[in-house]
Amino acid sequence: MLGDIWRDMVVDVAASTWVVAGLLLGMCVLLRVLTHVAVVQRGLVARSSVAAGLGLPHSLEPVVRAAQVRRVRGLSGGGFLGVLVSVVFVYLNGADRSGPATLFLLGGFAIGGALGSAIAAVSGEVHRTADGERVAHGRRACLADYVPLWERVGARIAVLLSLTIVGVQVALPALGELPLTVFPESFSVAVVVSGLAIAALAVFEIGGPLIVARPQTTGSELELAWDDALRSAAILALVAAAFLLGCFGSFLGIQEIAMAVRGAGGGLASAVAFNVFGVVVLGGGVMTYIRTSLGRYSLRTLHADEDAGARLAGPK
Amino acid sequence: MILRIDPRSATPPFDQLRVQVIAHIVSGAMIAGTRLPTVRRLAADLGLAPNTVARTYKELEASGFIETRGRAGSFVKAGADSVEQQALSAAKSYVNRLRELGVSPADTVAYVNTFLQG
Repeated sequence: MLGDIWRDMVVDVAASTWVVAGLLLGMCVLLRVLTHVAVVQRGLVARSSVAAGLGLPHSLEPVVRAAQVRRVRGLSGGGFLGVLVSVVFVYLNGADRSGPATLFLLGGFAIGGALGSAIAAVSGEVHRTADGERVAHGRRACLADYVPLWERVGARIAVLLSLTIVGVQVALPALGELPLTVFPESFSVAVVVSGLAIAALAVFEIGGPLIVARPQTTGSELELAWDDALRSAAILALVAAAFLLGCFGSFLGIQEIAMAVRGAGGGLASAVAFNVFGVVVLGGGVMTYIRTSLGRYSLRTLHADEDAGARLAGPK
Repeated sequence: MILRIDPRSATPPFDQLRVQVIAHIVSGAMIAGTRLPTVRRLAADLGLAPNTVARTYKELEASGFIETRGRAGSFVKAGADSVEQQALSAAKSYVNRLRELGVSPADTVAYVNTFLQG
């Protein structure tokens, strides 16, 4: 039976979809291969040290390198699976005949990558890194110590907004003589993306506290600060996935409503181009923000006492 | 605010933990209402037995430094004014003053012993 589905998929899924999927899958494989290269590993560690603003003594280098490599492998593995699932999804829904399949593949890659990265961040073996001193936070750390309030609220608002827009789409026939632009009457990309946004938000709401609750078996304050920085980055990736998908769902939903209101005439290509441009700009901005703010927030919330700056100082 | 445990120290972990939490409270690093980590979490983080951390919390509660609010957890108590807290505060002022004067830690302890024996 699986063989039949696979044969049908090969025939039914458009060549362009396979090409994009192939490119994304190839990128995932390349990422995975690159994590075995020593120069790349050193680059990852150096970049994360600068981004986190933390010093990196020799004793800590293997721990941070392993965590960063694990994260990138999680991202590539998750992205790979996400793209594969998206191709199946495109086949089952016929999205490459009536909707922009590329967006599904990119969405699948983004969600899968964020999930893989977050799972990899917490999947590392928890073991004590030194036999000597042991350190821990004196107060209970919570999600707010790792992700700023406005980012958590921003992601929730983005997802809520996309859901509201989907609600308006569903209510269109009742609002006037307008066609229903969502399933089952027609295939709606906005609905699917909004669904994915809810899934990403659920993963953040459940996975975030799980990441925070994981024990921190560290042997120095610097090691603890690094652990906090890596946790913060993992949770930020989950928030970013939910936020981006929420915004994406809203863009697409507004576009579909606009098309329903003024008829399905021209303008689709420009609207799609506008959406892709918006998502690329938004996604690029969010990713840059995550990369540059890695750990700085947790450094301010969990290591803010007077002498911490000097003790933990790293590249500025 | 960081808690440190040195397993090689002659001081038992229970005492190390207790003294540090009190020091944080006295110094104002842990203000009233600060939520302490759960017993299990702190024990896992510091590689201690949960009973050790639980005993520390119980002692701190008995001394009036922290309070347990059922399932919500343990919190730094407001207006804790025990003898131990005042003693620690006085000791901290003394140590800080001698540090300013450039006195070594060994001499700082020696001065105290002089008065205790006298």
